[in-house]
Amino acid sequence: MNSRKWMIACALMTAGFFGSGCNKTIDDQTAITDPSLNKDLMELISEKADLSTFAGYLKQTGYDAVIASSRTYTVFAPGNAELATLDAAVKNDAAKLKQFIGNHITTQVYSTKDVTSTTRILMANGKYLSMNGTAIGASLITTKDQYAANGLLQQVDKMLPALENTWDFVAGSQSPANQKAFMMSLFRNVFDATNAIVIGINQTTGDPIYQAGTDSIFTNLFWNKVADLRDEKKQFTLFMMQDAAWDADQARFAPYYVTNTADSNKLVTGWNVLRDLAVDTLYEPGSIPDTITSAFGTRVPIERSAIVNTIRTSNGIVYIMSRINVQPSSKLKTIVIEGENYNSTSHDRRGNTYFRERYNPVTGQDFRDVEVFNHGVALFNIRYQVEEIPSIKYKAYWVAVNDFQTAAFNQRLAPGIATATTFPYVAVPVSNFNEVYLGEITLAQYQPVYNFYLVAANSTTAAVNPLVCDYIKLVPSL
Amino acid sequence: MYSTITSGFRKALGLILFLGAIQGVTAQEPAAKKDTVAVIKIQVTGTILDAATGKGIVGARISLPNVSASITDASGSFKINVPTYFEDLLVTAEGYDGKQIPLKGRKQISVSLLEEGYSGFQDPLTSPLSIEPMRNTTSASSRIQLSNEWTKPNETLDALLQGQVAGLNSTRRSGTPGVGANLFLRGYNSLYGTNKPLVIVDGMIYDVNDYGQSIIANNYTNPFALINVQDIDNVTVLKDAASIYGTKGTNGAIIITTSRAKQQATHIDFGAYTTYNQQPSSLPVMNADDYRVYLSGMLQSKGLSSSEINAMPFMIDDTTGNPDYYRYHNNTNWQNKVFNNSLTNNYFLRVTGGDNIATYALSVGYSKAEGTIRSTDMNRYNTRFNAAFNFSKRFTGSANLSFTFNEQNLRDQGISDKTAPLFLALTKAPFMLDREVNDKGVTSPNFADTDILGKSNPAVLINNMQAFNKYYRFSGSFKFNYAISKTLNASTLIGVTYDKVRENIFIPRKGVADDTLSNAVADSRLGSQVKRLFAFYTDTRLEYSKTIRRYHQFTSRLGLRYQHSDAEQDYALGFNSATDDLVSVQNGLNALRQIGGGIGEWNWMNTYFNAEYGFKNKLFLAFNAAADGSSRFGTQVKNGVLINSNHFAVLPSASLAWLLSSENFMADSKIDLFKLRLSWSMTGNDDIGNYSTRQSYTSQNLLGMQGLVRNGIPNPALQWETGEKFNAGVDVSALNDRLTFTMDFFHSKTRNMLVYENITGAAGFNTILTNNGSMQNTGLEATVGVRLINKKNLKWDISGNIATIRNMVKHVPGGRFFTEYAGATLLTQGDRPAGLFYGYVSNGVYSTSTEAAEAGLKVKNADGSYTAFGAGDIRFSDINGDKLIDENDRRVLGSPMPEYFGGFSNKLTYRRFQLEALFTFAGGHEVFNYMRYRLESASNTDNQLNSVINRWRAEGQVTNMPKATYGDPLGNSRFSNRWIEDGSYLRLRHASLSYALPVKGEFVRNATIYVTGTNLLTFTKYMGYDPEFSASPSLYGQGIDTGLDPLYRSATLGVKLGF
Repeated sequence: MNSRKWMIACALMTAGFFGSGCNKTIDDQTAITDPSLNKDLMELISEKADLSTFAGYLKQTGYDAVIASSRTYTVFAPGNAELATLDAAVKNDAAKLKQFIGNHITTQVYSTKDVTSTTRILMANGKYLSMNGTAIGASLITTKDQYAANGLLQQVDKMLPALENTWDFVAGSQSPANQKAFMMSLFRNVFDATNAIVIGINQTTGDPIYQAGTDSIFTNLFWNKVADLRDEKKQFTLFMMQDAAWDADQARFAPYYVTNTADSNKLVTGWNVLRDLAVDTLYEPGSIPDTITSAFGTRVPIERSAIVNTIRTSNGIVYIMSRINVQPSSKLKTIVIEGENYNSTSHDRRGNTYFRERYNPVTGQDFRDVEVFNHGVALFNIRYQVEEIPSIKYKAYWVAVNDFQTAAFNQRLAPGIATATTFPYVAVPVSNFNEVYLGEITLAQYQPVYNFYLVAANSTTAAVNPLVCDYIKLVPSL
Repeated sequence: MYSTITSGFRKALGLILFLGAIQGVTAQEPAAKKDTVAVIKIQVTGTILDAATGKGIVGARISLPNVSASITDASGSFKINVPTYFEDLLVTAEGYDGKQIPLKGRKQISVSLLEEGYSGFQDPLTSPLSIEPMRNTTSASSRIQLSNEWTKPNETLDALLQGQVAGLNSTRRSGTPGVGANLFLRGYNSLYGTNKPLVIVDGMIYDVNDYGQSIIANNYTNPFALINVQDIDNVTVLKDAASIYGTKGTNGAIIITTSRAKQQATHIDFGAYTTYNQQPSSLPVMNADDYRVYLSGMLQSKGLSSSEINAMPFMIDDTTGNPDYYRYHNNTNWQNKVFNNSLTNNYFLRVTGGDNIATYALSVGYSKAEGTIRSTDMNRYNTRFNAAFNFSKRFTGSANLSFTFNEQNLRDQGISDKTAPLFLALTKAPFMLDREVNDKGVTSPNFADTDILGKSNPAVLINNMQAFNKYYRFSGSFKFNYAISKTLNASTLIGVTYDKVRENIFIPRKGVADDTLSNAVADSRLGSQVKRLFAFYTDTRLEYSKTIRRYHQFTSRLGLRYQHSDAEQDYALGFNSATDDLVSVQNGLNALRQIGGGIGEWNWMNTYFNAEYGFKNKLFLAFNAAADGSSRFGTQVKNGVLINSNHFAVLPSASLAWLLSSENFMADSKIDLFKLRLSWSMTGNDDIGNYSTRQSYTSQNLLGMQGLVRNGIPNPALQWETGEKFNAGVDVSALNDRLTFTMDFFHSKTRNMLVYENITGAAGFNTILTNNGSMQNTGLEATVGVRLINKKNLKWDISGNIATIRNMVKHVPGGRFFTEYAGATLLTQGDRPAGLFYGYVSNGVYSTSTEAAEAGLKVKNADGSYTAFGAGDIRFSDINGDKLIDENDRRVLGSPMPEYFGGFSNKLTYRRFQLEALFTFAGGHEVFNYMRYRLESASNTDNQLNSVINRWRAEGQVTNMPKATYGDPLGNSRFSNRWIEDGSYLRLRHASLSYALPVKGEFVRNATIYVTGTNLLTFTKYMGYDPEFSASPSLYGQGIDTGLDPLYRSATLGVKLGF
């Protein structure tokens, strides 16, 4: 019979049903409606005749594959006419060209409508450019916000050259020579265990033993202590003094940093002058204030007339200055030693030591002090360690509040060693919240580390030998 | 409580028995007179023909019951003596569908009989109290003969009824095996009470309620899965006049009769089926490249800097500098990791037989259905024993016992962002891999952990999550029947149901995102739950039946139903077991364990009275009344009858049917049957909560201290919802029964509808349950069946049904209220349909900033500031014109209730082949595509549909997909008409081809092979996996695609053998 035909028909019908799996409506909904979204940025750029040179460079540097990939990019493309003026030195150096082209690509979408305040954007070469609306670096976006599947194309009216960063500028500059030389002299080997190779353990201390040469890095003190001028993420303002000004400043500040040797005197003086010359804020020439406060609290007066030259770098700006007249009074600071922040005591009297919260009716402020009472040690003392004290004369004061007994008692400040008698014993009367003048001390030499002692009366009687101190103040006397 | 109820009932019963007795006396009065013996002197002649061949049928039996009978001769001719020419003759013949023929004054008749099994108005209908031919019924009922449904062994009855009954909207819940369908018969009758029709299996109420949520996310344990459809003989869907079921009848009733022995000879039927389930077609989500572009933008919009984004392992494209390269540079089709093609096997054996003392039908079945979600399945073991006994001539009985055990492996589904594999498969980053990978790109057999974006690994949930559900039900009843006299009959049915559901879950720590509890972070999650139900049911009745002078048929019944149910739910949830190998709940941290549950115990007593009168087989009247008492009703109920301080709902109904075609003036008409039906009934809904009328307490944990707090404010005036129903219908059969047509108009109104009413804050609670709502439904249903071709070897039947329903809330307290579900807002308001989608209206996307500025619209933020819409944002309609897009700018977006639904089928029989096809459809409704709302929201790092590639990216771009913004501050993805879609569909639900093998052996009686396809074709504009889903039995969960496992296509090959 024709049962076989039936079977075949049935099988075909079933196969037809099972094959018809697609859902027309959802396919319509998810179809890509905009042809631009079927193109990646490289395809979009290749279509534009005016960007043929740029496209050529993209291929040459390998960036064509990057901007065709499935990450998002914004490409700032200068036209053929602009690129015609590209320096041959860049054009013919593969590394430099890659650096240059990389400065036109960023890995995010930056639309001119979205970037409404100055924004630093990271370019593919690791440098940053500032964008605000249609302004990018020193260029303007002419044809804006053209979208492709993986980002935006912005056509710009100028090239976006890859500038060197501030440190590279310093290292590569010829003048001013003296400040540069001093900055370059600050390279040191500094301990750093990050990449160290451990070759053993010290049997006594248990400390690791590192393979020689792996436990330190060669770095510049300026990077670590003032500003890492290589950092592309930040923006710096660096002042470089011309040689004459630099030398004059060295001479001017040398007396405050007297040391044993001329070399060390020069180093300390140089460092103290240099450290106030860089800040991690960008000051544009047009809006630079007359005084800048450095990270170390020094007020640095900037005379616009003294600006000899202005150099833009990828991470900031460098001003070459003919003169920076920093006042010693700004550089040499009052030293305040908080009583409770001592480094050691002559005897362990933690049981007799009190850290007190008090209110000062004279200043109207709360304060915290230290009191040692009934310690039973004659000439008991507390040691305070102060670092980097310039070689000048200081006037000494303290605030010591005796509100715990009705009788006054004596204590004294001893600089250098605990038995020093530079200052006399001074009575601490009942409830005196004022600063008490103690006398003067002149430091003949700059002291990298110096001790002050607060010494109790030479007695073991509790009421006679307490120590109390809110703070000790050393005011430079120039 | 129980004793007071019963004493109250005793009084009520007494009253009704008294009324019944009066009725009985009046009824018996004419019976006492001598019945007129018909004088047989007139002869009717005629022929009985085979409708297909036109040849006479030999040996057909013609009878006038209790008067005379005759048999056709070789040519199909007969002669029969009748008292008058105005009698109804019964014609039956072996292998043919019997017929009742009104003579209407004719002396000669010619009758064509269709083959046995042809469905028409002559078929017997199982109604609540009796079995009678459909032509005699006064109610709107549909009958479905299921003995042919062997071709669909994997269906549950609720889903199988789809498209087969006009007015019964069956919406399948999901594609999980055995999960079945939500049934709404003639619309919504209640907002917060049940809308499920009452289910009666072999005379006993079959409990289809829900006793506590599943601990497996969005799993539904379907009681219909405990009934093997192969066991079902026929189903009656009773749409109105259900007042006989009192306060359980407002949603109509589905009366199921399981198969029993039809002959005393032993018959063995065996069926074996294998089904291939095809994995649903994937939704087009973005591939790894498109996703990465999207993700970069999303991370940028989240506020990450270029260098942070560039440092992400998935952004570094070289293998040298990136040890994670191989982990983050793949292109995984996650949907394929979750879906698979699967197989289902099904075996069934039934033995029937017996002798003149007892007959029995014993069936056993086993099926193993695998889901299209990997690792999900359902095993079913079922057995059923039906027996009928003749203890003596007057004393008979029957037993119906069934036991079904289901075992399911499930997975979380729907809205469960961290643990539902399907949702995760759609949203997980395609550049990830399901397995661990080392730095060299070598893949491990171990599954990868939660990824860098915090997404669970769907493969872990498929392979390492455990979610078992084991449930079984024993349901058994005994019925005894005693014929006191020829006219008086007493019967009683006693049955019990014992049902238990046990669930266990374990969600591993590795590969699944942590969950946050109120006081801890949950890594692994464990749980166990047991739900029990014990129900006792009796139905006792006295039946009086008498025919007076052959033309007056009178039947009356008085009965009492009583049901006691005891349900309990206990669960324990644990968290943070020590390792992923410790999977049972006691291994969770003690401090985090959560234990809870609930109990529910209630009694229901239903006293019913029924009186039916039939005149000359052409006019039928019926009156029903029920008086219901329930432990759920309050003590201060205003309506009903107060008996012994208990309130009883008194619910009457009356119906009428007139067979115009049996009237003499239609003697020469081509119309075989023309019947008018009218019915009016009062019904009730007692689903008001077991303890809502009483003061109750619930346990609460406050800072580790366990205590009891009041569980809301009781409302002692709370009562049943009252349903008032009117139905007018017409049944037509013509062209020698080859054309049948039924049409019904109905109007129903729910009064005293349960609503949550707001109360003053000083009460300490926000709402109280009251009966202050009302709602109505108006609808039209039509069913038509035509035998197009009726040849000996070729028969072609087509049939179809359609229903249209207008639902209207008449009154709710406060005029209107909103319901939130799955991000959608649903409006319930007087003079509007219930549960309307209510949201914002979007009109595309602002292409440029200028356009947006011209529109000048803004939103108010949480801190009181304003944000203006910009380029790339959705252009929402500012409906109230205040330039502010807020909740006052919402409007009705559509209704999830289909305006029309139904089905149509074809049956083509050619010799031994039979081809059947059923199409189902629903239309005119809107659905909320929650999945698309999640997959096009473009507001987080989830993978999205390909359509999101079209998102707005730059000034001037014209698109309808808004820009991608982290967190969506302007609410572009808020509930709006963006997500509302046309839910209409037309589906080829079933197509099957069977071939009856010509067997001649004595051993095998018959053998049939089948090929059946399910869900073969779907025509829809819906963009999700499938337009059919139902997330919740509540009317507020309809039409919301929460991403449940989708329906799938399958093909079955089967064989049925008869011995």
